[in-house]
Amino acid sequence: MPSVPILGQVALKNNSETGESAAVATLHGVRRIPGGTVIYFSIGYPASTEDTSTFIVGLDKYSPAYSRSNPTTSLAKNMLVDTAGKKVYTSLIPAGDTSWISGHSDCICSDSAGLSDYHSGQARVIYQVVAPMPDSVKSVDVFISGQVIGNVKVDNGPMTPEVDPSKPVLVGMGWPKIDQSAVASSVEPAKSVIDLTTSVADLEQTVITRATPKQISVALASDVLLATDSATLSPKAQVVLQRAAADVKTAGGTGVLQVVGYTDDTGSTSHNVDLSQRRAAAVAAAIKPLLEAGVQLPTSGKGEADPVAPNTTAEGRTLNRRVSIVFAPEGGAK
Amino acid sequence: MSRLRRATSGNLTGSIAVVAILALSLAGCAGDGKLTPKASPGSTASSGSSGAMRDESEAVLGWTPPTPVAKTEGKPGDRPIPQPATVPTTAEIISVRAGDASTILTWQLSSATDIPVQGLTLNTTHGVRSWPDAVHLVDPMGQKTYAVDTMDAKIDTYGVCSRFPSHVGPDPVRMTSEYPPLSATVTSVSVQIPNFAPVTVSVTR
Repeated sequence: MPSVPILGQVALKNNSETGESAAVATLHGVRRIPGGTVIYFSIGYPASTEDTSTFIVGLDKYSPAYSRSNPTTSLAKNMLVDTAGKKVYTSLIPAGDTSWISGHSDCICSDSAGLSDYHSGQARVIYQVVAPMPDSVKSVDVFISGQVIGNVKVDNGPMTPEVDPSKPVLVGMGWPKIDQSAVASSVEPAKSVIDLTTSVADLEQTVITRATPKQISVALASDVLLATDSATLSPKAQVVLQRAAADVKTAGGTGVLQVVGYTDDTGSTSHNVDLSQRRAAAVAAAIKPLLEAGVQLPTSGKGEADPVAPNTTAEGRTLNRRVSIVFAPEGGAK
Repeated sequence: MSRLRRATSGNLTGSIAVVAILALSLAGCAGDGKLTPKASPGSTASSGSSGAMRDESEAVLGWTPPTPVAKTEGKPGDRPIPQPATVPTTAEIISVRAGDASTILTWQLSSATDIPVQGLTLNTTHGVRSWPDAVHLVDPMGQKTYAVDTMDAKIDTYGVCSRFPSHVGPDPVRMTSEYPPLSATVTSVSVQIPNFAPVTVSVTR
């Protein structure tokens, strides 16, 4: 039995179309440190691997560095997902980041240049520092090397014993010492935290509930709910209203719930705003008896504003014709 | 992480030979990669190691990825350019693992012959999307459809899932996707991959 913690493993693909797959990325720890959160993982190549330079150890995905630099350093793109809090903690940006210059690091992490001389039969430990998380976050989903490892416990403090990170650290031979000064001087850590959105719908996609840290939106499809170009409820409206009311209750919707109407971009703006206002009012009146007693349902119409899909297709316009019930999540917006 | 609307990739001009912008998993991942036979579950409180330090590379390299529990056939895309994706493709489900705060789907694609990346995107309501983004979990008993979680960065929206593969061939390409938590009563779901027949799998917890 290994003495090192193994919290999950994923495989890495050889970067050739006919290559054998064998390399392994192993998650060893997620640790909270002052100013950041450390992902400890290792990359290992089986003894049969002939050319480790062809393996891909990262992936193309979002990081704060991506928007401002050439994303050449894949290590920067591992991240932690707090699904309960609906936040994603991405790589900290080091001060003086020059990652748009070829070969420079865009993360606070192990010297990835050392990966190029990996040896077959070895697994080496790597660290990467992402944004700091609140103490209330006890577990996260971890994104490493293009795969999600779910429900990983967050511990406190760096993994020990710490060893010199400038030299390759084999699994079992300690843990690379974190560059705390780089963490302390990282650029605007708050910008490394982004919102997560979840989406659950009924089978017909007539009621779609989207949740973010800031708000919950239960969108009712106007095409089923209302007659064409009208604020008159259709014969099928009651079923949709009941589903939506159930979802609002499940999501904890109490107090003040904003009811907002939207249209597609067909027709004039003034007509669309008026139509969306009338539709919002009709829905609010019809759904109120189905919700908790005492809820308030102020209404508004935004016409074709804030589309959730492109208006360039019939399907997209259908999604945009909606009435949304919007409220803050339990405990308030985060 | 798959971007729902793809941004321009940077040039791979760095000095780091092994670093690239795309990672594909071929042999296991995520929740189903936990609790391997050789693994010690969980971590210690403050120390990552116990006892004398020794090279334990072999312990992590000995991992055996889990095997599929279900499969379905289909075609891997609907875009006609530059090459029609007409080669029959197999999608195999490794696991649907439900947690308190999220659900992780692990699956893989393979094909008798190589299919280029251009065949692996989909024209959907939300524009051109890639495979991992467009896969849904459906709970027929609870009458719910679950979409891949997304990250809302200022420059774009990204699915919390593996990026689409650069190609699919005989060697399976393994991917994971994150979804909202399933109801505690859900014991099985239908995995719905566009252009593939739905396939029902048991949920593990």
